[in-house]
Amino acid sequence: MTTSCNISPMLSAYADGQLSEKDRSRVARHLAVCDLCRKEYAAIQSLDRLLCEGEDLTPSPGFAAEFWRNAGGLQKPKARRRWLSWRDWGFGPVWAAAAATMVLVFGVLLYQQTSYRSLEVAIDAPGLLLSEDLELYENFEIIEHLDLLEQWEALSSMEDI
Amino acid sequence: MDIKKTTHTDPDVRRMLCFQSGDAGAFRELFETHQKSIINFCFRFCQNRALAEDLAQEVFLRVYRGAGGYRPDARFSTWLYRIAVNVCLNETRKIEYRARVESIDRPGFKGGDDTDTPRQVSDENQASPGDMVASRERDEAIARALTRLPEQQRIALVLRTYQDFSYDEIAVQMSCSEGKVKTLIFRARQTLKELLKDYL
Repeated sequence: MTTSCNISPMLSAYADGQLSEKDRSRVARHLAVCDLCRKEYAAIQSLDRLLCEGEDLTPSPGFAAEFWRNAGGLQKPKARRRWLSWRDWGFGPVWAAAAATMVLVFGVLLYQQTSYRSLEVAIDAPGLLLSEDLELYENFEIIEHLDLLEQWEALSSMEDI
Repeated sequence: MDIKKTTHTDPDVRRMLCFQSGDAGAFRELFETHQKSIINFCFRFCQNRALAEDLAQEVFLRVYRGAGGYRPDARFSTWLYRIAVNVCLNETRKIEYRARVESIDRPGFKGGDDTDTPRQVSDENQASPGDMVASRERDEAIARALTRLPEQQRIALVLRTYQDFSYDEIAVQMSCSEGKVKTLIFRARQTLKELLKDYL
């Protein structure tokens, strides 16, 4: 039996309870006013009842025994090595990696700061603190010898002696 | 459906995970729980008891072999019936062909308890004493009507009507869209209403 209603194709899914809330109420409203669709819907319900009337088969007596005989030749599944499976660990490895990165970054920063200070102490150059500007830092050698250049005249006169 | 909640509460998922960890008893429980429904699913697909049991054997062997790759992403039965759908669609012809060839090679073979010898696929298998109901006229009409449906429509309808899966679960099992499932079931019902109108 078919109907000309455009709602008719939705009756099957309506009977299965598989429509969205919006469509379900639309079909329900339509069923209240359409005789053809009501008959169609009743036919779907009685078809489902008819299909379910038959009894289920029970497995043959030898079914399970045959299966275990066949399965006996198969290798049992090996227990999964869970420590290798990142899925089983969830977000654990991500957090561990993040923590390790943080520690590494702080370590590098700390090391840089320490070596910078030890450099200051080692060369004992008061002008170094002023040369935070990178260009000045690159010219550190010249700056360091400025005193020497200022004494240049005295030194050259000493050479004359 | 809240899949995560479902998988956590599904006892079959827990059994399958136990089996993955090497607990053979867990698989035995799964087999006991589902053997009947899988045989009936296969029977409604092929309408032949012997073939249905062969298909069901194949389904459980695949579950056994594939247990290592199982992931609890959904209900266990969704995964199980996905395998059953594949077996029904792909193995039916192979098993029928094998049974036909073997029955030709052994003309006197009648099946029976000799399990080393494959069962012959014949009409005798459909009328065992335990299946008296299936011999009734109405049930035969239903069986005939089901076999006249295209395979995809038949599978979608059986999964919905007898196994009570939702459309989205059937879509997963049949590797198609939910919209297609809706259409397959609608068309299957249209055809069956026509074929079984004397019984409605």
